[in-house]
Amino acid sequence: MQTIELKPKHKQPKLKQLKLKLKKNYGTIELTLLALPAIIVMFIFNYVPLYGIILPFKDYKPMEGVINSAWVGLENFKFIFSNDALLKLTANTVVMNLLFILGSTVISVILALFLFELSRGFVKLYQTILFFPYFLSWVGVSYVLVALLDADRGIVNQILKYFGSVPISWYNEPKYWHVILVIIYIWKMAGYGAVIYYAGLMGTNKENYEAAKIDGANKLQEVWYISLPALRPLIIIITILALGRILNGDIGLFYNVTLDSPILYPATDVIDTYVFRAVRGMTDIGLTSAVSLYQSVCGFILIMIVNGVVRKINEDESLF
Amino acid sequence: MFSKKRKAMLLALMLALVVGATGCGNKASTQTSTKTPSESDLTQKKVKLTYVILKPNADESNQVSVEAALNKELETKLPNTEIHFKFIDGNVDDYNNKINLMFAAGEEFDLCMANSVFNPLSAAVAKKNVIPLDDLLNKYGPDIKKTIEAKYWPAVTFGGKIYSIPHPFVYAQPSGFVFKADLVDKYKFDSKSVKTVQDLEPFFAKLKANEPGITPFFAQGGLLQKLDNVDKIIDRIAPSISYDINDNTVKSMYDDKVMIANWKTMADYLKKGYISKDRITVTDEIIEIKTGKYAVMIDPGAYDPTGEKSTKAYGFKTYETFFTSSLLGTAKVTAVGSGISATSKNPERAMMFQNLLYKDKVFANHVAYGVEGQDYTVVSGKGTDKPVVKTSDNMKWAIWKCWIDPLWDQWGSNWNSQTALDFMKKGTDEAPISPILGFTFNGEPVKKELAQIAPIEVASVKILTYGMVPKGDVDKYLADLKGKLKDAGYDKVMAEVNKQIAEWKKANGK
Amino acid sequence: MKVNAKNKDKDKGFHLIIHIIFIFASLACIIPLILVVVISLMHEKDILLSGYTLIPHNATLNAYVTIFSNAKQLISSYVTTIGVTLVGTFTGIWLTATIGYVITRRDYALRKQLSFYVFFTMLFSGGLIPSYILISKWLNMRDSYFALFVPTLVSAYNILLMKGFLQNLPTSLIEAAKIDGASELRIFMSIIIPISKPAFATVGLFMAFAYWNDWMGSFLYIDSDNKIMLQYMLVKVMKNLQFLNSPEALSYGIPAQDIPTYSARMAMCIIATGPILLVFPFFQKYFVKGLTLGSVKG
Repeated sequence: MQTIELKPKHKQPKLKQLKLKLKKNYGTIELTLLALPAIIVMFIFNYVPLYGIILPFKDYKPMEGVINSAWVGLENFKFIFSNDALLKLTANTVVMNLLFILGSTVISVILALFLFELSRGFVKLYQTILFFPYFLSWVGVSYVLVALLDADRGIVNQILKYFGSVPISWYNEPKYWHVILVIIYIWKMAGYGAVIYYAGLMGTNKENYEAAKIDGANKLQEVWYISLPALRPLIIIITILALGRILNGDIGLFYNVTLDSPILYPATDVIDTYVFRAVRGMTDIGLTSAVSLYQSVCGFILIMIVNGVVRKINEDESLF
Repeated sequence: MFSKKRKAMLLALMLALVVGATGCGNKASTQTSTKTPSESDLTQKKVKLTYVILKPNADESNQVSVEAALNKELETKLPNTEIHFKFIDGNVDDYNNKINLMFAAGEEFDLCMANSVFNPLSAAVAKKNVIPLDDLLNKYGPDIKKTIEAKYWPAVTFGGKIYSIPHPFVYAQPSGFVFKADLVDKYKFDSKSVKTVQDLEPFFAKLKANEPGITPFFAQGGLLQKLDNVDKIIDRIAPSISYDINDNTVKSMYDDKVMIANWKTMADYLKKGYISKDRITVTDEIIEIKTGKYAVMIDPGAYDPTGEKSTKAYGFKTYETFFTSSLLGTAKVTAVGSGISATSKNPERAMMFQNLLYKDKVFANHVAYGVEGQDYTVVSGKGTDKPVVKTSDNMKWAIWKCWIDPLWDQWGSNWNSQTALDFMKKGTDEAPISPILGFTFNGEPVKKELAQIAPIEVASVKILTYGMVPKGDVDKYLADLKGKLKDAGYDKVMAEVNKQIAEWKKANGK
Repeated sequence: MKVNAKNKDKDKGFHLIIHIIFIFASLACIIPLILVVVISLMHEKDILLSGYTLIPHNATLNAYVTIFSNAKQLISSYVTTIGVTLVGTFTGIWLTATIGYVITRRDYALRKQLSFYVFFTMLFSGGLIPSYILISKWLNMRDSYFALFVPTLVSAYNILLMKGFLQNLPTSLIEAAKIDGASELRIFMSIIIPISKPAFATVGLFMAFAYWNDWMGSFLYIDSDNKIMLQYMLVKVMKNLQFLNSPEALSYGIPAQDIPTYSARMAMCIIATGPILLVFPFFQKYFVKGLTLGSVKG
């Protein structure tokens, strides 16, 4: 260990001052250098394009460029706020997303906890199988769903007919679709979540479990006192991240899977699908970018609130 | 609240914004050419032209060889010029999204689609993405001006200048009922006498009673509304608003007594099982029709009295009965058309090339069909300038003529027989002309209202057409619909339409 | 002894329940996939007339033949996709891990700032147009392989996920290494990476997936057919087929085309996503093994 002479600062020569500063902050500099390539890439691809955020406030003409296009202030936002439809859709979007987050988190965590109990061979097998749905794109899922739910040719109705029940026109009945969409979402994402949470469990200290066993704890207690707390940081991060997109409806799910059937709109229409239909003939980006900004800002506010709450409880586990 | 370090970060962020912003002004290529170089002067420079169109055929893998052959032909026909077609994959929305990005990034290309469907013309003009063509047409486009009738130019004129070339095409497409021939024969139904959907009732009743595997009607909106007296002004966005030429007023389809009766019929047909409950979820209509499950459907794009087109399209013998012709209005005339991009560095050469497509019909057909032997074979009339050809079974090249030049010059082929082409041309030439041909609605002032109306219309038109109104109560549905539309600003849009038409009429001495 | 036996029985019962649950879950996941395979083998007419079934009556490879008829395109798309996925994933993991790790270090002076820097990008984006202008024009990446993986190398979501995994790393290890005079880079490479294999494997897997399934990059930036990725090839073919089979297309005088589309779509799903399934076991061995924490003791 080196000993550094602590002369009063103002008496030390400038160069030595600098060297001292460098040494003190050397750790910081080193770490920053380590992360630098990533920081630069992020800057180029995420920060540089940010000027597009002013697009909703402009009457964008490609030939004039973003800066020179005329300023229109809040004109494009009137589309959102003076429009009953869009506000109702915000509610539908938020509700569906909350159900998705809740459902998939609960199921994924449970699955991960179960996997944790099994031997390696079985874990590999089940994980792979559970992951299959995540492979399929939403378009692929829509084809599968048609194969199941088509009124005449679908398998579900064929089964119903076989048992003498009346076949249901699935794509014409909005009342089933809140449930159908949640089930499909969980089906697709559960395996994905299970992999994440399982990996999180793998990172926990095995000694804690051994100690608990010796103390005579049963499975349920193990889960409650060790596993879940260990997963908490991960669950919190993922949930907060999901909340940031709570106003964004996945078009793949809400448009492709529902076959864009207008009858189902009361249950399946979300902000993104509505906007898609609204501006289709128009090639106007003012309205779409205004809606994007609206979604981003609301998501941001929500995250700040939730993150603030988490931070009060346990600073480490907050997002930042 | 913000620490010093945070402030520094925000500063860095703002710097980024400024850096980004300053770098992004798009300098459009200036179109102020004061000199008027002669044609031979201009063709001194070697130029490679890019024509951006939607990918015509899923497989265009012969592009390299075809373009090589075309460029060889150009050596004599338009020296120092090479042509390259940039195909954009997908459908209409993909084309529109992609070309708007290309404009935004100032990508260089010369010719592109610019019509009511692809690269919507009025928006493109408003955004100055395409350039005025008047001078170019006068100097380098004599054959284009000769070919296109004077009455059509107003449809592509904005603020006194022409912005697109409306290629001669089936502007007025008659539509008709298509009947599955074997069923018509079996039940001896007089298909030729059908004039409205109501006339189909007795046929449907017989089919429902005796043919369990057949769904009588493949419902289609085109078989409900007669289009020969209404000019749909904002077709793609608000299809319900049209100009009635009988009394020169702007009307809403939802007030039309005939349509209301038709919708009630459709609801009735649904109840009686003549229409499938799942019509609304069919995403691929042609494939669905090809199953042969339906007895009556709409034509596959245009009415053809011989039934030739529909038989080919649907795969079974058909009879066709005429339903309605359409009116030649602005939207129809601008269904196809090309323009020159503001990012083009060689607008003169581009116009020369476009003119060549009009002048040299052999060259134009080579562009459409490809290389003889490789992509097509001559069936008859070899050596003449109007042969009949047949394209290869695995087509690896095709360009639909109407997207780049007149359809009528197309050689008869397995695409369209000469008879079919002649019939279509006759239909277009004899179609009634809308008194407001040339008027284009400018949606900017009511942009927000249109965006609010569009989703409502898109959904409700489908529901009404397929008879799926709740409890079969059309009147109640329409009442609700009108309420929703009113809230969305329908009246404001109607008022704006009326205003603009009145102004246009005044300005054009009508 | 008695206590142990009772526990063992309880465990066995518990395990049985778990297995049953997983078997049901597995069926729910496998059956739809089997459906996809089966439909891809069905005759188009059978699908349209008699409906979808789990057990096909007549099998045909027609859909696959149609797709493989353009073998050259298929092969170059495969090569491109595999290349982009490999390069993108490895580079991406390194970048994501470095920045993710740095944010977890409690002794890092700029921790809060860097976290916010990362996080901010998740919430606000300039949209498609500025990105397009940046990538296609300013960086001149149009029609280049770079456009297919560079823009998405670093994403805030992956970084924060990585952070979540790495948060509980034992600081004692790091401190010990620092005392021994190791540089941060050395620490990262010789200590952090080996014990974070589950984290890297998980995030890496997701990145690989995202690359494999990406079609936007190809749609936006690629002009040459030999550079397009697999998923885009699928989307492209399907969209073209759908458009060409629409009344809109026929009104242009386009001759009607006869293609098996329902079964072809399913076949494309299999061809496009099948291979990535094979990659899964490779990643699995890293995150099923677990961290080795033996070094922490003592």
